[in-house]
Amino acid sequence: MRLVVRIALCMLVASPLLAQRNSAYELLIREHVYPNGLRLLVVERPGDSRVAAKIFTDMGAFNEAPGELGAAHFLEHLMFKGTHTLGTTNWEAEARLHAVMASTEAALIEELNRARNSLRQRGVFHDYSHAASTSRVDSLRAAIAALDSAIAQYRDYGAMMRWYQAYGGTGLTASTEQEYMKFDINLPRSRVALFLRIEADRMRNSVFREFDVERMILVEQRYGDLNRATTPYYEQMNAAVGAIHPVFWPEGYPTDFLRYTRNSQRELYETYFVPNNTTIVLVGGVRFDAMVGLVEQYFGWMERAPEPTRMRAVEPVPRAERRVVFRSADLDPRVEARFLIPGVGHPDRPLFDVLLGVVRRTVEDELATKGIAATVDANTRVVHTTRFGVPSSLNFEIVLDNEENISGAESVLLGVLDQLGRTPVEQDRLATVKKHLRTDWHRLALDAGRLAFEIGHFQTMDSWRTLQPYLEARDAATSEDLTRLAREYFVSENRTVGIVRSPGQAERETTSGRSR
Amino acid sequence: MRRQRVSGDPSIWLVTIALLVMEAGTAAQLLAQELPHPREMGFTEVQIQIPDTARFEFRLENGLTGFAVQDGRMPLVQISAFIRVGTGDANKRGVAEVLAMLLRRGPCWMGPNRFREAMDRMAGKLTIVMTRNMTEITLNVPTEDAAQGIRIFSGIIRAPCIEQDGLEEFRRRGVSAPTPPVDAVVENGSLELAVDLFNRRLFEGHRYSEVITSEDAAAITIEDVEDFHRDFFSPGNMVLAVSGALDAGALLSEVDQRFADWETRRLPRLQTESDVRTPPRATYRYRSDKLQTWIVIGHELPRVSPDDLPALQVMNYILGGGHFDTRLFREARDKRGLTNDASGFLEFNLRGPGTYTFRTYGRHEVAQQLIDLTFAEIERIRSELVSEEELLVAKGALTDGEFAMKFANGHAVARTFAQELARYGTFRHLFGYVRRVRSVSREDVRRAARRYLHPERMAVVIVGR
Repeated sequence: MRLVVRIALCMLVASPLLAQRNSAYELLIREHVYPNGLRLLVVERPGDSRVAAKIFTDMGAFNEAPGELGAAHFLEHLMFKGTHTLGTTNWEAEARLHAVMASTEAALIEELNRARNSLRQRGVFHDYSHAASTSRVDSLRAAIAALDSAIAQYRDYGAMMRWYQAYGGTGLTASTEQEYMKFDINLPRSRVALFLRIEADRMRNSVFREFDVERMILVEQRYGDLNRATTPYYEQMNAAVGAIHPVFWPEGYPTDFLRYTRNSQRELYETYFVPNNTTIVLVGGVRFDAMVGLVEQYFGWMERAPEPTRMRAVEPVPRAERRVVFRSADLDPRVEARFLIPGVGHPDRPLFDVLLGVVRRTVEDELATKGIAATVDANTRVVHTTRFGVPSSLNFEIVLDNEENISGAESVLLGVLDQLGRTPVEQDRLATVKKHLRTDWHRLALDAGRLAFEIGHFQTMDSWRTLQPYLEARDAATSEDLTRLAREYFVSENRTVGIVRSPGQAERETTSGRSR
Repeated sequence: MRRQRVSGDPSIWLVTIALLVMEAGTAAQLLAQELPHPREMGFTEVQIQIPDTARFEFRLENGLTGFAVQDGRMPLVQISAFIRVGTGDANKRGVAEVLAMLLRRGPCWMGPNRFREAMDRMAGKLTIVMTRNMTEITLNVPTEDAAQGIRIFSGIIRAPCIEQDGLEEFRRRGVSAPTPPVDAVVENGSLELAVDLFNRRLFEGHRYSEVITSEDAAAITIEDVEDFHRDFFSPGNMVLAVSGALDAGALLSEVDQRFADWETRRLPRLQTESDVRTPPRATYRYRSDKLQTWIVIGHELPRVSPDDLPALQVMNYILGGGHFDTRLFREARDKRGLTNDASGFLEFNLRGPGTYTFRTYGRHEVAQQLIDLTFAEIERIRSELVSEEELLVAKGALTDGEFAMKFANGHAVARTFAQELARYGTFRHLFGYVRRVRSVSREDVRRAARRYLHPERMAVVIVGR
């Protein structure tokens, strides 16, 4: 060292340098499937002092019924309310109250069914408010509120979280999307048993407390979404892209939230939270062999349950271009094109990740050439998630500085997509896009929690075994592959165009650029 | 549909329930397996191993210090600079912000277009965060581009492109919107807006005000920005963190090549700013047509000595420290369903006042309840001792959880050491942190609450209805 005057050469972290690796994606995932169907996936990271732990359940918004959208998400909230063993100061006394609650709610459901003709929605627009009640409904709801107050005297709030925190848990969260529900924690490696103890308890012994209070949290979360001016627009777009598939359904409205019952939530819980519908993922300083035994200790006693119903919806072949014109004073003007694409597990799906980057850059260049000031987003997001094991959508969105440029931007976008089906992509551009994908993956995989998520997510979408080939397929994508995708998928019948204008601006129709 | 109101007299139902419960008998389910309580799982204390700083430290002859840590998990290299300067250190308002913007245009010898292209080709990720007293610049690149990345990184720091067109761009885009008068209708109501309005009120007329008017922007010259850069961006006024999938010798060699010939300069005199004091409790209302109302309650946070910090952090953890089991969260969310979040935020500055705020939001009709609950919990933690269990949980979370994460991998180790040295010039606080947190008592927590929470002069900013 020329000018370095003090160096203590640092060895560090007991992990091999990449030079020794054979693949850009070294995923040493080890699997154990227990007799009851529970799946354990482990990535050992020797030397790590901590472990990222996640438990995935193969259920989500796909398993909801119209009229009760958001029910899976609500179940996740209820599963933070404690169990028989954590969250109560006297389970025996509390359980008696829950038994009464069950019969009171049954009476309420019966009354709602009896009075259905006075309660059902009939009007639209000006008389959309269709809420109504009966005196017996009011009375039964008062009884339920009183029962909740009585149960509250035995409550030990926050117990599911508290012990994770006390023992060094970080990143405690949970999420529910269309295809999965998961609970996460990051713990010191010597305390991984705490994760297994709490999650086994949550999976078998959850008690649905503060049910009506928690409905209002869903309202708050949904209001948070609806405060964003883009939410109603994106929901209209999703509704236009997919004809029937629940992947495109919104997260529910307050009208849905008020319909959930303890009974219907319990049914979801008991059907799907079974070992043969569950995957545990551990990434960090643990040994696979030791984890097989430890997981057995906490989950091995559970019996295999009847197989839950899997996703059955099949999105029909689209037959016509759809156009959505959304008028808003709160949104910047924009033009967007969406196309149905296949899900993870289909050989074309990884190629679309490459295509996104190529199209975004090309559209940006073309808009700049034409002097149109805009930002371009290319993504595969539906609601909050960007990958699915079922068909979803590829979205190209151009947000404009000036509404006058809507037609011009649409021409540019559709022109680029059309051209892509006829002209090979430049090799340099292709290489750059692939490098971005590879590097982004490495940044992600550095973080044990994010890696654990991807492994579990792929398992719910298809199989964890698909993950590494998926990454490698992106690296192997050729210009010809992208040309083929453009020809096959960017056809007018598969296209949904979205336009956002201000309320007063007359729409100027354009046909230019719609070549397919 | 609006939520149905529950009618009926709950007391009648309590009698009925009592009778029904007697009939129901014991419905307790037997567990299929006996699960031990977490307290009884026999967990022993985690020994948090802080690596020896000397193993990773380097120092160039020009005074530049840093930490190089090898981490071969992924083929990435990351370099960060922690520079002891921020928006609160400029003599002219807006000068620091102009420099922060210009740093994003890359080194002057490249020019913005070539810089953008090079970053795209490398798939590099550049982040620049300038707070009131510290600037952190980080570049993350694939290992194969480490040499080029470190060269560009040194260029950003040593020779940013301080040119007129950049200053003009700042004048177009960097000027703050005027502060709306109280009771005004504001667009795009949000929690971020409420926090911004709170800070504007608190730091009005103070050096830490981040409101930059068009007059401020017009008064900034290229020379101002150059002087600011020259005064504060110098080898002795920053600490580097270099980490990644290269052996330590290679990492250091790159750093040496790009920084060793940088001239030593006199260290800048870092000013300490006066505290601000919030006047007696005042409420500032702004109207917004969104579905929720956002609330920020708080006041200034004086400089906190590292010795005082553990008790303050434990207190805030229990009261509102950004997790699902705080007192505020439990009262406002779990028990009453008023909000999705109610949390406390300690925001420190190294050489001047910061803020201590409580932030929440909810449907309009519950806003007053949220405010009342926040003040009630603040009063409670000032007047009553916290429980032993609360103390145990907070200490475990802060030490075995948050603190331990600072050493979770090689990149984190390098960053933690560099940041600590840039902040305090010593590792004394870092190495003593766990011991000091573990020794915090219930009385210490109450003392911290009384010292740092003053509800009688908290400002309340409300954005909503």
